[in-house]
Amino acid sequence: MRRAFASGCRLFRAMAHAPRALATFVAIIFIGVATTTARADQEAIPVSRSRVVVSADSVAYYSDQAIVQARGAVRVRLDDGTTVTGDAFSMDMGLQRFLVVGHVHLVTPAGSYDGAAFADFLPFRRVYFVPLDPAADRWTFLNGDYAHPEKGRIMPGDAFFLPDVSQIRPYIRAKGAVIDPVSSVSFDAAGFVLFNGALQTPPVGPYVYNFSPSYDFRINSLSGASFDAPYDFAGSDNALSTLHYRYDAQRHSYLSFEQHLLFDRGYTVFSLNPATQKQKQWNLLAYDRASSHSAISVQAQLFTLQNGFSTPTSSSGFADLQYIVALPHSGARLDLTQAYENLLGTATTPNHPFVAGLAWSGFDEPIFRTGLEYRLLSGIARTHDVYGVSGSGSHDVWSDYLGGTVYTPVFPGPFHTGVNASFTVQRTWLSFPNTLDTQIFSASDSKRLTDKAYLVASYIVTSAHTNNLNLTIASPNFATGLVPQPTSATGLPFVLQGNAAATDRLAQLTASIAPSASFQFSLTGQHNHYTPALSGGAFPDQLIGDVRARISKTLFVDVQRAYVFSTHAFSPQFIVQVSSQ
Amino acid sequence: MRLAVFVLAAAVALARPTLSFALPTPIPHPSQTPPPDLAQPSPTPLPLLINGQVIDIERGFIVFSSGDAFRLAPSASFVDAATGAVPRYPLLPGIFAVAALDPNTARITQVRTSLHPLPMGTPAAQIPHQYVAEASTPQPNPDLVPPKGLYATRLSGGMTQVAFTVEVPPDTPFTDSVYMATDTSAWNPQAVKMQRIDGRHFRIQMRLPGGTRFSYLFTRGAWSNAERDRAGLERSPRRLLVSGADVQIIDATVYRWADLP
Repeated sequence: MRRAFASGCRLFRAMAHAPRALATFVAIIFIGVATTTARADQEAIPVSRSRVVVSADSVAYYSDQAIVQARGAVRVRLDDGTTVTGDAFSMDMGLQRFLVVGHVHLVTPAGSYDGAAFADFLPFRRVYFVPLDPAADRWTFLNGDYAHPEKGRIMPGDAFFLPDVSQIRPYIRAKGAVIDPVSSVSFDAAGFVLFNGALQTPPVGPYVYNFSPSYDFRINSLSGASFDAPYDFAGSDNALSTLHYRYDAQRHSYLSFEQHLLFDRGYTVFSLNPATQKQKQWNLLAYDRASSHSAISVQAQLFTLQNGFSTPTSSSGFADLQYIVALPHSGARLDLTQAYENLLGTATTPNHPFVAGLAWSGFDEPIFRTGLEYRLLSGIARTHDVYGVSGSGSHDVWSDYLGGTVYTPVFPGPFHTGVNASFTVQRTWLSFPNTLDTQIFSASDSKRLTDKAYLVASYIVTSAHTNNLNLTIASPNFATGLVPQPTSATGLPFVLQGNAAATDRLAQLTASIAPSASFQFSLTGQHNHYTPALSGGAFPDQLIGDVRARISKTLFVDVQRAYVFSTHAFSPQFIVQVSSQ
Repeated sequence: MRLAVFVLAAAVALARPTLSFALPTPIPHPSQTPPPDLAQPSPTPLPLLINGQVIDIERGFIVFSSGDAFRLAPSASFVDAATGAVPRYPLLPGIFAVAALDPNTARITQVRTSLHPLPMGTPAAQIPHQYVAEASTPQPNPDLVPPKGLYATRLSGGMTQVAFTVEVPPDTPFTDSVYMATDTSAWNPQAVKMQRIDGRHFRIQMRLPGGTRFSYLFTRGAWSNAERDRAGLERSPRRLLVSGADVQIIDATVYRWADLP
């Protein structure tokens, strides 16, 4: 064990001196991703993914029912060369069934037919057709064989039912659409019907409505903005290009671009944010599910200052590469982080710092039969900085950490309440030398008032202590054990707020009522007590209200506001968020 | 000789009224009239009323959404079901109609149309095949026979009360909310907000139609803090099929969040 640990340390020492090797490794990963994507494009397309290309006098998309309907001079083309013309078209995205009805003319590789209705049940490879020439009949084409119809075969009772959309408004109107039954609908010149029909836009350009079951399309690489309106203008079953109109108080209005690329085992997300201002941020996220028990994750950011896409006047960035692997009763993460001070190639400033490390985390394990459980954490990392780590004279600093959490289940408490607690302790050794200790204790007591109303009281004590305030590191690298904790009021360890030792005691009482998923209300009172007192930026006493209510079939509004007792005023932050369900 | 037979037959015919008194009085029996849904076609049938959605009218046929085609009589008329006048709207695919079919000729004589479903007549799919215009003899469709034993429960389509309860890791920040992201909400990471019920559990109840199928994952409001598996790897979405039962309880456990060690 000790030998393995020593060899691991040697490996990390070698890696710590190899920032170029890291860059090469990252490049190889990117190239690998690109190669995999290209290969996926060449695979045979299953029938259920056959595209349906439809054009008509009017094509409408009804988002509430996931239906595309077209009327007037309908023409449908399938990937196998089959074309169908008729009076009306409808496709139910849920059923993955489309139909063409009224004066149907069917042209297939095996011949042409005239009839009344054509319905293609894509997942089942069944096409139902009602010919009228030379006589009315029922034909079923099996597995794409248009030369040998099964005549007289009974059809499903609703084989040609045209959904009644007379009482609902479409979301999109266009003249043509390309439908991928399992992922998206691409409209040519889309016009939008908004606010329940109060606003109808003229055709504004190509639009892709993506409804893929894969959540990889929803991975967001753009950092926060007060307002974000995405517009998907191009896409397929494995790609999506999006233009964002965004607003925030600092940068005001701007446009951003985001590109999703999916491949068999993962995804790549690239974004430029903002794209229309001088100060730009280029983001890259990638995740490769290398196997059932391992994955590679990349996160990279590039910051440039440039007019349009001219040569930047400054350029910096960072890249983080992780290899995550499942082990027996635990998981491990190899984490490499490189910061780039200057990427213009005009300065001699070396890039710094570089962090390489390995983090390990155990599963939750029971402590005998006590009902208690524990989880262990550990990690080792090396930070290399030619200018000295954290401004010190040390160019290389080792950080090792060991931590653990012990927690209880929810026990029955007095007055029919539920009580639980947890205690987390961690020590990080830094080779400056220095140590950093953190402890988090939390306890909560909950009371069920009714089936829809709950009361939860919690008490959390977070404390941190370091021997030397100037010799610490805050790094996004998991393996350093010094990742800024989200439980901190400012997102940073307390020791970095000017104190070598600090404690925060948070008492919180939350009452929540949720009669249904359509309406939820919560009121939280909280008291923070910092020791020593913070100079600013944190409110000791607050009352926070949150209301979430349904405003349409698919939209919710969430309003949150806090009242600060120390200033006798509401907090400047008023959160109103509209989201879909 | 022929004249003699004719005279005899005429005499017998004229004599019948005088013979009828000799017949016994019929014994009353309980009514044998079957319930309406078992009624046999009358010897002089009334017009059949065919109800359904019309998807095509051409070449002397009217075709319903069930795929059943019926011949139109040359004099067939189209009237609005509400006014009895000529429809003021175009007869496009998707209108609803009740068509009167003359059983003697197997042709449609009148079509009453509407923009909304009409509550009379027999669904087109239940009209006897003898009246449907089809060149081929009906053949069974094995696709339509549900395999036995495939479903353990009956998916009624009625509403089911589904209660989701999720246990979160002990390091979940107390000030954070937990959400469900679902494929039906385009994986919005804040699609369904859950209610904290104690220090480790969140809960939400929803009424969903039986047979509803969707995938979901838990987040703390963003994909950067979505749930991970026990080793810290991305996990595949959880799947739910809402049964036809009155109540369905789903218990889930989140072992780890993406942004926490």
